[in-house]
Amino acid sequence: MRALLRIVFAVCTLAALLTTTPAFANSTVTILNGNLPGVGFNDPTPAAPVGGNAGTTLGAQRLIAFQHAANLWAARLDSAVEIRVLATFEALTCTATGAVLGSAGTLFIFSDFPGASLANTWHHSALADKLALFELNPDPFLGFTPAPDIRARFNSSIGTVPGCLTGTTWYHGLDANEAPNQIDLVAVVLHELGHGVGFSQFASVTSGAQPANLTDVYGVNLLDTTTFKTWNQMTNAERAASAINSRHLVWDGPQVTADAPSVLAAGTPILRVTAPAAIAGIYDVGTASFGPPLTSAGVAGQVVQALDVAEPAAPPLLAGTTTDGCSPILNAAAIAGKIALVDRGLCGFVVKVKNAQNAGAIAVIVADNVAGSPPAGLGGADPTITIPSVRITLAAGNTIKPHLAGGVTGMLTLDLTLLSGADLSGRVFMNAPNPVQPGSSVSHWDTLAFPNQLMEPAINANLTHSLVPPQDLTMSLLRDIGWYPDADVDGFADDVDECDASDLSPTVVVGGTDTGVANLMFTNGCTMNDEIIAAAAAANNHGLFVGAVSQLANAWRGAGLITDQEKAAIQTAAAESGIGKSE
Amino acid sequence: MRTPRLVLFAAVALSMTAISVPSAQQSGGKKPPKQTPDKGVDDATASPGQERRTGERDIAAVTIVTRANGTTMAILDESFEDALVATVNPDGSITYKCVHGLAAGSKHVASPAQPVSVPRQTAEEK
Repeated sequence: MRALLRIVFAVCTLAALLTTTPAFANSTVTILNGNLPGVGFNDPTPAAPVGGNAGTTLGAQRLIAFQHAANLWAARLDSAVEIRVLATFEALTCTATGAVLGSAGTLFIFSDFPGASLANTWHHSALADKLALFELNPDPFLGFTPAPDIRARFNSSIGTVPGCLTGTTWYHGLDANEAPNQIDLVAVVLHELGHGVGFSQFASVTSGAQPANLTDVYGVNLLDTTTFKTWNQMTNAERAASAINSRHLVWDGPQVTADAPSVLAAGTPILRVTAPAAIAGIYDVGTASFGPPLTSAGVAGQVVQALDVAEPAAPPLLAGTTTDGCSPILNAAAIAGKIALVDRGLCGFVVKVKNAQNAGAIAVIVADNVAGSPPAGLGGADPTITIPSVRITLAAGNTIKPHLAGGVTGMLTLDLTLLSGADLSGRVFMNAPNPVQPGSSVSHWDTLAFPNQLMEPAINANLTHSLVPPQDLTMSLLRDIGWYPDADVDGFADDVDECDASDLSPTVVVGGTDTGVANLMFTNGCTMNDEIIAAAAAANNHGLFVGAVSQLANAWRGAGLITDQEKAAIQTAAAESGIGKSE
Repeated sequence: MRTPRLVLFAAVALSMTAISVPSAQQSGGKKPPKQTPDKGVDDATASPGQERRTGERDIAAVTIVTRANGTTMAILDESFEDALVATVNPDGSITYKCVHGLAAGSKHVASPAQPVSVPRQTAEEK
């Protein structure tokens, strides 16, 4: 009886929703404008249409851009339940050189609700509603009924208040064609809503503690390849350790792993140490913004410590060292034709690399002087640099240096067997820098991902506004946490739904006659109306149709799904219909 | 069975708003990135392993509600929002950083994270 009730509820709910959901949308993402008249989304300041945004006021353009991002999500997320986003543009913190662009997140999380994919596991509000097939929090919240699922706030001061991000404005166009000094609002909203609908976990990344000690649907897919535990299997301490286990925290969901080869480029820059055996292996590197990029052919050779003079202190600069490469290299004969190793510190990276290049080095490895991982890149610009260079971590440097005297050989290369942003098994890295960065850690992809992904911890200008392969893995991850495809939003995943375009009318309708009988859904994803429609399609004449419907009604009555009166109503409607009758 | 069904129907119907969301095209083309995270432009702010923490989930502030049907709901506070902070670099490029919550975002803007535990001051980090 409970299962049947759920089916009935689902049909009723779906029917109600479908009355306001366009057929071409897979969900409804409603923007609840929380701004007062005259401000934010209601700002009347005139604005010229731009990049496909036809709004003629600042407020209208904001709302159109926001709605556009919501549209992109709505087209990808299949849900029978409205996704409600309480949004405002308001004056958030801003200085001439820094600003809070915006924030968003789910307002509620749910566990152990009807339809939950996992027990004792938190689900984001919008996802929980989808799985339950009804609004789980119908109560008022923040002045809106039912409660919004997501709260989103964006900074209205940018581009309007002098001294706020001077020279930088929002780009309200819909075409991802922002100028270098503009911030693509659509991309930022897409990113933030992504967190709200599921691209986020709820544990503290510093303590590992979880709300009510329950795991979440995101953490179930987080695998630490050192311990081979997922986050739901860990203690708090293990989670905290995993959050900083850079390049060892991966997404272990099947959809992401399946889609990654079609999204991520082949090739990860690495240092492969080939000898001595004691330290042989692959070391993570950060690449340089100057000089030639690493290639699959690679640059191989002996790794040699470059030596220079120890620069005297020049306040505020402290003294240099003989291994920082900031002065002309003294052991050029030993460096020539080799891979030079220098330490980070004192001078710019281009200075170090240029000095090594002048000494005849074929490549440069900069060993970090501060603990942390993954290794950051090397910034700077110098068009005269012609050799490749990389940064390795302090730990990697300390591993290699003791062996230099005995001879260390290695290769700086682009390993084409590795996807850019994935491990040897093709599992995509999650952002797990050490030290931890709350906000960036875990709830984003690793920045190694290439092409750049929407849910990296930065908004990159080469984003396409796509949420799906072959451009992006965001939807793939959401599939893994439970956002299954459901084209007719009937609560049955497309791959098991025998009726992928179900008639979800609340009542059984035969030949245009509403019988008033509840249109129940069966466990194969088909409704009573679907079966009657199928009977009509299969019948060659009216008599056959009436007979087929009569059989269906008898079967439903026999199963206790309808009463005798309801059976009669269905059979009468079939008999009185024109289905199967010749003109 | 009919009564709760109708009640639910009414409740859901009341929740409906008329704002519809049409399908939209994917748009935009590939362009060079205007900023590259963690590539360490002069190593000022982009070293992922070298910044101070700002903000964290406030687990203790989570309110738990258990409903009669066994559903458990947690009400999350602002620290569970993900805030995106932008910093304009001297060369005009923009660096982004995600933090937990507006408060942490504001703190980050007011006092951008600086590298910590650097053994000695370095010109590259100026």
